[in-house]
Amino acid sequence: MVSRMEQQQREMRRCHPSFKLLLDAGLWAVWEGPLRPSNLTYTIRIVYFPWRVTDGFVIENSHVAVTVVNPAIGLDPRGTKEPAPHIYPNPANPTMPKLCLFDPLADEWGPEQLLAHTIVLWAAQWLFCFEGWQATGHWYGGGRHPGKAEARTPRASVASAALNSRSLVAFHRLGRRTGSTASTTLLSAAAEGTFPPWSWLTLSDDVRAANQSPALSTTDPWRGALDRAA
Amino acid sequence: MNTMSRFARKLADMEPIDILLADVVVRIQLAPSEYRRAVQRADTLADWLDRPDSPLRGRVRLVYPQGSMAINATVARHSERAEHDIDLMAELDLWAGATPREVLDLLYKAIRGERGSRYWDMTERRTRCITITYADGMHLDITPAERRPLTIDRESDIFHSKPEDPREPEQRIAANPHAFATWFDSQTPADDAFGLFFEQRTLDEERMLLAEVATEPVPDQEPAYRKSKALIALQLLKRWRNIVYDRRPGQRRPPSVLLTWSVARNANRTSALVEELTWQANALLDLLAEADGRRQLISVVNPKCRDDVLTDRWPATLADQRQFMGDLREFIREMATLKAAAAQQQMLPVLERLFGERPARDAVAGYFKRAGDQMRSGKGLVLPSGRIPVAATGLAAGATGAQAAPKHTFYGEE
Repeated sequence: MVSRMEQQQREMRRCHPSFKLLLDAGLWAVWEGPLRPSNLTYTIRIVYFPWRVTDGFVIENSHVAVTVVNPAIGLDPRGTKEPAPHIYPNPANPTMPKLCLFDPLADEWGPEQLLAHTIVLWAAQWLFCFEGWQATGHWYGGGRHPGKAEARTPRASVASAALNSRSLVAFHRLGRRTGSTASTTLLSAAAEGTFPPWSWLTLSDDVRAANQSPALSTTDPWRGALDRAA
Repeated sequence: MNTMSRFARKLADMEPIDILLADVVVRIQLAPSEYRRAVQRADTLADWLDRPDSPLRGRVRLVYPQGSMAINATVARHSERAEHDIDLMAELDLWAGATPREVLDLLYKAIRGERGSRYWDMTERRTRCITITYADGMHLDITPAERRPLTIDRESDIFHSKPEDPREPEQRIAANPHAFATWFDSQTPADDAFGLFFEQRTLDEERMLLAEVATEPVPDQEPAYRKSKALIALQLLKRWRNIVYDRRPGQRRPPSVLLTWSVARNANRTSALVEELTWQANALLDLLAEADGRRQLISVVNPKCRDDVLTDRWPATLADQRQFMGDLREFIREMATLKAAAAQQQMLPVLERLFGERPARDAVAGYFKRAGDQMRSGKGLVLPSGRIPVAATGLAAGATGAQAAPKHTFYGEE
């Protein structure tokens, strides 16, 4: 039986061969690829979590997050002090907001749907409308903005879920699933879409401190063990 | 499979700049309903000239289109006002020894009629024609002509008379605009996929405009609008020339017939509209530069009537010629900027400068709106490269090689 992740990878290869699978961590995957809706070519990144509930813990990330890696959307794309419409802010990198491609309250998409037939196409449409908005100030693709009560920002941190369970067994099970027993910090960084994934060699104390996910506890019992192991 | 489907892939691959340039022309050309109105007005005028008390009764042999009207290359005169010039020839049966002044005065009197007639306040006598100006901005320019004996294909004499300037001699001048138009058409056959695309864009725009007045149904086809890239390039060059010379009131501009001749001679050498436009501007500049290099004024004749000099009134001096050469160099630089533009945000100011703010803005807005409408109705197409095939709007996904994107709602914080 073909797994959900295998299905996604197969269809991405078939429909969008220029997209590269940068990371297959079992529990999540990252693709990057070019889209050229009109004149300009953009590189987009798709971070995909097929499941959010597994082995007794909950992954807090959205099932899918799409950002524009190059050229960056930026904070003021029109030079009018307005951000782009239809985005989620990305606190980790404000110049790379997450594209909002579907209405989560209208069940327009679910993780069982193929990225190649939905998310990638919608991202191309978003970029096309973005160029139209840049040129004219009007967003021609329609859409809606949530009220304040509805607004939700996807929360980061795969590993915070494992921490929250306070279970070493669960943490190591997560590590076997992802193929990595890197620190919570590195897992958080990867989940935020930081790429390439950092290693301990590149991580200074200052960077680790700066990259603390808000969900991580500063009294993390595992952090001490891992730091001592390093 | 219908004709559009046959060309679906070509349409899907059309470059955005070509779509925008074509859309500018859709907005400045004589629309099909306006074309039909012009033809009706010409027919009405012909009947009027032959009315019982007309001084030209029994002398009007034929009224037919000439110039831009004959090749469907008419463009709106001014940058903001949609005024079109419709050129007609009135072939007359004249008496022996008729002078140019007599002929033009007679035609003026025949059109104007008596005080209170429909044309009384609308008519102006000019040096070679009579102009009727309608309230909707259309201008009919009627040039009297007399067939030259023993010639073929409507070769005629037209008449030059400027009573307000006694120094200017009256003249009979050879002309064969009918044969010239036929020659132009033979040099610029309609493109296949591009021609169909332009025809459909014209009809879509027509439907939108007429929906507000709901007077007549828009046909599904209008073959006269299956234009070649060369013809579209000619219309863009004329429009640009109009805008440049609008800033020089009182100065005679390079004649449309010169631009038309140059475009016809250099047609069908490129594969994209933006390339055709650049190529044609360069070809015209080379032509002027070749004459200028010999310190001579350019001189061009009708290839179907060697006595018909197309440049008899412009340029009058080398300064006129060199000024237009400078304009062409600037145009070519602007085209390079346009081609290098990464997005429509950079293209828009160039299009505005070259062709006028209103058609440029409307073309850019229309480009995004058409695709946006498709997205909102769940009919949006996306090619494997991520391209949104605006020119293939309304066609089936399979025919274009695109995927149909499921209906969705953009969301997110404001």
